[in-house]
This record gives sequence, C-alpha cells and structure tokens, in this order.
Amino acid sequence: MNVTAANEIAHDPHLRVMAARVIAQQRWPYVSSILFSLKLVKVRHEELSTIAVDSGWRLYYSPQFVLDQTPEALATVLLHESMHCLHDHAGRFAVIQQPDEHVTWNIAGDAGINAILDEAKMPWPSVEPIRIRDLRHWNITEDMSTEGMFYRLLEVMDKRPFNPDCGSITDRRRRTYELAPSHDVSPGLRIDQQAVVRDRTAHDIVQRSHTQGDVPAGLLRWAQEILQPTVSWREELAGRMRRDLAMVAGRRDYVYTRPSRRQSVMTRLGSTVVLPAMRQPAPPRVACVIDTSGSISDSELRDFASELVGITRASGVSSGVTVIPCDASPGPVQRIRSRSEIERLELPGGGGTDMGAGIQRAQELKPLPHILVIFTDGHTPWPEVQPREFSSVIVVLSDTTTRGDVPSWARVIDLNESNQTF
Amino acid sequence: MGLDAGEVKCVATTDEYESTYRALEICIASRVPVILWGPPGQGKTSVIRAIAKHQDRHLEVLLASIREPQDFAGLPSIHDGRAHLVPPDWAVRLSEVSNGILFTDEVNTAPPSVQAALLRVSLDKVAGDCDLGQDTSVVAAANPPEQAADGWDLAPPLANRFCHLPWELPTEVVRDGFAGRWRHYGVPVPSEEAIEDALVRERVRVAGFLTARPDLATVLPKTASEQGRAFPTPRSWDMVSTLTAWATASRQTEGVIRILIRGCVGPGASAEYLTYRESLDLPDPEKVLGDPRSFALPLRTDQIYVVGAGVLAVLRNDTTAQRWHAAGLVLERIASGGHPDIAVSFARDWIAERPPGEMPDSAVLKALVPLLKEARLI
Repeated sequence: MNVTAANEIAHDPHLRVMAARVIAQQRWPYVSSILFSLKLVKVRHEELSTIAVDSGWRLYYSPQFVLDQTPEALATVLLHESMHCLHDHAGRFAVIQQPDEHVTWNIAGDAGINAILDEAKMPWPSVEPIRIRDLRHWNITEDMSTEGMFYRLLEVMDKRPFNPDCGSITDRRRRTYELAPSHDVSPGLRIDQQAVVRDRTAHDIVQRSHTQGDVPAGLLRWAQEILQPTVSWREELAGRMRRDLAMVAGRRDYVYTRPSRRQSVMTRLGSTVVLPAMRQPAPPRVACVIDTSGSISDSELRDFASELVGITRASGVSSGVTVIPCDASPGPVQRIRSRSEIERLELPGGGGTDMGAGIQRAQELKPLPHILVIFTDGHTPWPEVQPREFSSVIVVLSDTTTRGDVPSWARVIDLNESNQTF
Repeated sequence: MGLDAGEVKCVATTDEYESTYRALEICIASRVPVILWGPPGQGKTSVIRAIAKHQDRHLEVLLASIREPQDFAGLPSIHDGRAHLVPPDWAVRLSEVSNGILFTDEVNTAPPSVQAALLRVSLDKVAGDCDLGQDTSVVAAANPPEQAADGWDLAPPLANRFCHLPWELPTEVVRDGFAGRWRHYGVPVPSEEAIEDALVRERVRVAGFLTARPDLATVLPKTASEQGRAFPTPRSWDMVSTLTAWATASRQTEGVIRILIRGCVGPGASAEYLTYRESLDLPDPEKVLGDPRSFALPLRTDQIYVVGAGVLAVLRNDTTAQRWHAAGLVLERIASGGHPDIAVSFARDWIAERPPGEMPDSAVLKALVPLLKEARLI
C-alpha cells in the first residue's frame, strides 16, 4: 500500500470508529451483541464535540474528535457507551422521576462504569473520565449502586464540577443532533428489542465465565442478576409476611360451616339456595425480637424495625408490632404502630447474645403473637425445641455464614444475599 | 452499577406498551389464560373491550373483589334431595355464545375462597354446573401486592396457569388518549394451518431446549412473592409453545415474543430460552460454509456476529482448504454488507486456521486489510 492510501485511511473517521469497535470486541468479546448493535452516525463537530449514544442505541461521533484519538482509547469509550446500554441507564433514570437532575445521573452512571473499565486497565482518550475517587469528597464509594450515588450526590454536591453528556442513552431526553426514532437509513433500536439484546449479552457473559475467569466481576454480577434475578430482603420479607398473615388470619372469607345470616330470607322467599356465611377473625399479631448485642448497628436495627412496621401496616394489620430488644436477656417490650415511632424505640444492649431468651419472652406475651420475626447476626444459641405457640417464625440473618445453625422450624431470609447494592 | 435490572419497576415506554398490548391480544386469541399486573385506572378494561371488538367476541367483565365464591363456583341449591350448583348469569351468557371472553378484575384482592373458585373457572372453564366452552378466553387483572392495601400474592398453582403481563400506561399514550386518540394495535388472527405448522415447530424448539437445559423444566421460586408470578413448569413451557406459535404465525416482533415467554416462565428462564430460540432461526453454519455465496445475512447486526462466530467454530472443528476459503468468503460478504468491523473481529481467528500453502483471495484481503491496519492488528 502506498503512502497516499495510508493517509486516506488515517483520515477516515468512520474507519477509525470501526477499528475502535474491533479492538473493543477483542477486549470483551462477550459484549459483542451490544457493541455491534450500535449504529454509527457521523455528526458535525459543532453539534457534538465527542461521542454520544441515543436511547435508540445509535452512536453519534464527531469526526474531529475520533481522528484525534487512538483506536485503543476510542475502544474504551465505545465500551463505556455500551455499558450505559447494558445497564439500561435511560430506563432506570425514568423510574427515578427527577428529569431535571440528568447531569447528576450521568455523573453517577459514568463513575460506576469507569470503575469497571479502570479495573481492566484500559487506556483513556484525551478527555479525563469521571472516577469514583474524584467523588470521594462526597462519600461516594465503589460498593454503591448508580441510584445510591445519584441520591448521595443530590444531597451533598452543591456545585457540579463535571458536566458529562453521554447522550440520551442516560436519560431519554432528545438531543438536537439525534436522528428521528424511525429514521429511514438508521432507525433506532426499539426498547423491547434492546431488552432482547441485553438478555443475549447476559447469556454470553455467563457462558464466558464458565470457561474463562477474565470477566470483570461487575459485569458478571449484572449478567447473573438478569438470568437469576434476586429479590431484595425487603420484598422477600414483605412476601413472607403477607403469606403468613393471610394464613393466620384466614382474612375475611366465606364458609359453609356456619349458616348465612341471610339464609332465613331465602327460606321465607321459598328459595332452596344455600348461602355461605362470612367470617372475619381477629387481626393477626406480629412480634419481633431484635439482636442488640452490638454486631448490628443501631441504624440498621431501626431500619429493619421500620420496614417491618411498614409491611405489617401495608398488609392491613393496624395493631402494630411488638418489639423485644434482646442481647443475653430480653430488654423492655415496646409496641410501635407507625414508622414515625421508630426513633423513640429503646434498643439497649451490649454483652452476649441469646435469641432463645428473646423467644422465651415472646412466648410469655399476652395475647400471644401469631408471627414472630427475629433479626440477628445468627451468632447465638437457638432453642432446641420448636416454639409451637407461633404459627410462623421468620429469621432475618445479617450474616450469611450462620445460616446452617438456624433451626429448621424457622424461615430464613438472608439480608446480604438478596440485597446486593452494587 | 445497580443490580436492579431496571425491569422490575419500569416507567413504560410506548414501544413496551405496544408490545404488551399485542402480547395480550395473542393470549386472548390463543385462549391462554392471561393476567395483567398493574395499578388500578390503567385502562385495562377499555383495552380488553377494544380487543373483544377487534376479535368480534362476547365479553363479560367481573370484579372479583366484590364477588363471592358462589359467583364463580355456582350457588348450591337443593332439589329433590340433591345439591345442584346453579350457575351465575354471566356464566350462562358465556356458555350460550361461542368464543366468549371472561375478564375478571382485582383477582388478588379477592378472598382466598374466591381465588380458589376462580382457579376452576380459568383451568376447566366451568362455573358451577355450567360449561363455558373451551373456546372461552380467560383474562384477569391484579394489583401488585405492594401497591394494593389488602392485596396478596397469588397462590402458586393459580399463578402458574396464567401468562403474566406487566401493565402500565405510558404518559404519551395517556396524552394522546385525552386528545381523542387511544392507541389500538390490531393483531391479525392467523389461519388454522399456519398456527398448526408453527405449533409443531415451536414444540420441537421447547423440547430441544429442555433437553439441553433439563434444570429449567421446573424451577419453583424460593420466595413467596416470586411464587405468585411466572415460573417454569412443564405447563408453562407448554403455554410458551402455544403463544410463540401464535406470535410467529401472526408475524410479531421479537419484543412481543420476549414479553410472552417472560410472562409464562419468568425472566431468567425466558432470557435463556430466547437466546437459544433465536440461534435456531439463524442460518446453520455448516450450510453457510457449504454455500457461502447465497446464504441470507440476518438483518440484526448482533445476529450477523453470531453467524460469523458459528462459522468460525465449525471451521475450527474441521479445517480443509476449501472450507477455509469458504469462511473467508463469508467474512468478505459480511464486510461488504456494511459490517467490516464484524468481519475483522474474526479475521485473526480465521488467519490462524490457514492451512499450509493457502493464500487468502484478493477480494477477501481487500475487504479486511484497511480496517485491520487501522486497528493495528497487522
């Protein structure tokens, strides 16, 4: 190839972006589905000075910008944009319903993405990326979710030191340079179609992780969550409670075991139809034993109690929750009816742990609770015999390693396994 | 990176609304029981009325939460010492017409005995002593338990009989609706032969998938709230084959098919199955190698990549000079089809398989070299 031809190549921005895509693909072959789903669209530098992706997965680039970068650095940018697609940042931003805060959302999304790219030691272009360490000043840490970072930044960041714009892939706000969603040559990818590609990518990532150990941990967790979604402990506790409350209460229901109060009317009218009676038992009672031995922080304990009260109220139980703080022996028995009372809750404790003592205290309650919820780290002796007074015992564990010690008559909810925030 | 996959709570877009709407039409047309999950006041009833009108079918609307079990199971009445279950009027009306639709709203705020009675209606299409006919479609709607004050999760046996669709009105649809244009999407009802053909094909696919992934045949979810939704069982896989057959016979998009599969077997199993099913639709790599000039390039770029990867994989298993040249031609076709970057991603692997003494065709080189140079791979 002669010199002129080589120069021509060096000046073709489209070729440069495609070269970057090839390099990106060689780095992370398991995200190929998303990488190659991006449609490349050239825009004027005055309209867009870098690279951006829209909510229809079309990648817009400034020809000047891409020619100023090495293909290797551009490849990192492409992977960065692909991860916005992968994580559905536009859809998640819509859920938050704070459309004016799109820049803060972009910052939070970028910081999380760049942490994964930095971990893989990828080269960056001339524009310096936003990193979590730049946000450390505002107590942003690596284990936070994009949503977590977003809310933290909203609270504490008085002025924005950054102004990133990755395009409408982060917020579904249409930019001036974007093509129409149903453009003839380059139509945007429909949102339900994007979900199909995302599913495929998750599948590819998990497959890769079976044969090779080179998938970044953050990506693998994302893929596993898509293929085997976990339910947060709040949801799981709420579901468990709803079912147990329903079982205890029988709720209002119809029975044929007693005659209907209107049966006499039917007879008088000469009808032969048999009506059922309605039955509504007294509302179920809920008690909880909270481990105050010190290994679980006070704010976590209150957070848990608050959640429990919220769930019982939402399930239609207005009598509240009886709380028994317990270390080696039970503390003051209190009843809370609403979340506003959580702050007043006394949670004394410190030395030693024996949940058995707390359970025993609950057995002495009058009237007896139907459902007993225990929140503990699990480093405790358990009673040898099942407390048969309760129709259901739920144990919420803050430490997964103790799961095996919990007796089989209790239902276990794992606080950490089902509550990954990353 | 938040692990919430973003789909649990979702602010719906018009695209998603359209796909869900079409999925609902397919469920109704194919007589697979369907349940819509969403907050109240989302226009579910009027959409179902529109669909009933489009499909020219009789519709009965009931509110389960204000009904009693005998409204579904029939009123016990004693005649000549024998108890009869007298059917309610809606059931009589449905049994008198053919192809009726029964829509029951607020099923999960109904007492358990009403839910149990409803189970028999949706499963056997029988109310009291009255047979509604197998041509009746069963549609239900429910408020998510976390949104309804006294809602509960469905019992797993009832949940597993339905295809679950999330239902939410996007703001654009509401805006246009108030301006006088509620959106309706008509799915054509395919011919019986078309459905029969598609059904045979889809059954084979599900069977093939379950042979490869027997662990996904039955997965009972661990938590109570998940058990009230879609999860894989042989029955829900059977629903998958029926619904995908109807969807392909009426030429719906992958987006609609995804929503239907997800609604039957839940998110995890559906993602796995959809990936498997899509790869079956792609050209067979061996056939592509046998006739590299005439195979049809898929429309979606991520599928073109899958075809390329498949060709390279079968080439690696059995490399001859002729197959190697054929693979080069495939890459050339991908490149000249507007995707040189996809072709170049395989170029290195392809060069590595070069049989001794063979040289690439000049057309192939011409298609690949500029980009290989730009990416500094050669």
